[in-house]
Amino acid sequence: MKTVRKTLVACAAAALVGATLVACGSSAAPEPPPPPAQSESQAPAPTTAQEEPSKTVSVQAAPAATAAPATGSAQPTAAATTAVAAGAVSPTDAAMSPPAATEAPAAAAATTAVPATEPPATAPAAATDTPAPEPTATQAPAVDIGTGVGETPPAFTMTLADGSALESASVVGSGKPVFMVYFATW
Amino acid sequence: MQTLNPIASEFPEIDFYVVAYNEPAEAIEAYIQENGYTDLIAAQPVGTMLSDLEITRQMAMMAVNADGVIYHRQLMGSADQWSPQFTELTADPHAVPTKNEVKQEQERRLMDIQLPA
Repeated sequence: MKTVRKTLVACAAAALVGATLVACGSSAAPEPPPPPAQSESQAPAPTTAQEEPSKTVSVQAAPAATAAPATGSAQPTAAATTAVAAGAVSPTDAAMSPPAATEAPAAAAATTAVPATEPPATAPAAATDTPAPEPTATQAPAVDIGTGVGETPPAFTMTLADGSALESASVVGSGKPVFMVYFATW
Repeated sequence: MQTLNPIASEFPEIDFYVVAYNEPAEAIEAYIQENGYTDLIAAQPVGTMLSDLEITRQMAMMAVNADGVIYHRQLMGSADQWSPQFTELTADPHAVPTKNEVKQEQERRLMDIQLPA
């Protein structure tokens, strides 16, 4: 009986060890995913969102694999996450994509932070370019003296009815438009 | 003056001078008072004013904006034809003529100079 008990205990222990090994093997190995892949393809986005946290636990066991895609550009990872959400990726890729999903926001933040710093550097340059033409615009208004349209008439003098002399300086360019008619009475 | 005075009363923002070639300003002023053209200012050219301004023909007109720039020049015509210029100067006393207007006026004056006296 003792030998039978020992054998039973040994078998039970072996069974426990085997069960634990199987359990560890199932959690660490990425091969089992086929059934979940079917559920992902059939289930809409909310179900995948619920499954992702459980996958991230299993992915954390292999950080080296996640670091490799993270060093690349952020756009491929974002594309992978969108492909996973759509269910168009193979199960193995789906198992690899969740880590990218976890690091995608950081990569996206890094990529968005770079353009955010660059435009201010270019904006001041444009602002410094625009003030330059202003002095030329202030130098433009120079009117020639002449008798044609668009010119300033030369100085002249008129006599008013009371006998006073009226200089052109007090008539033309005094801040009020002037109209002059030259005629003869004959 | 008969047609110019009503227009002058419509544009009080503009000073209207009537400059006679051959009459003293006193005579023009008497004519103005006699006919009630009180919105016009009589004047007489002094020295070489006419030649300096190249006024070579009778009934010439010149409109100058508030900055002293000649806005419009014309020979002949009547006062009612000049109302558009008065309206423009009233709306914008600092208005300047366009390049097209300058070119047209130059061509017009060139033709006038070539005509026999």
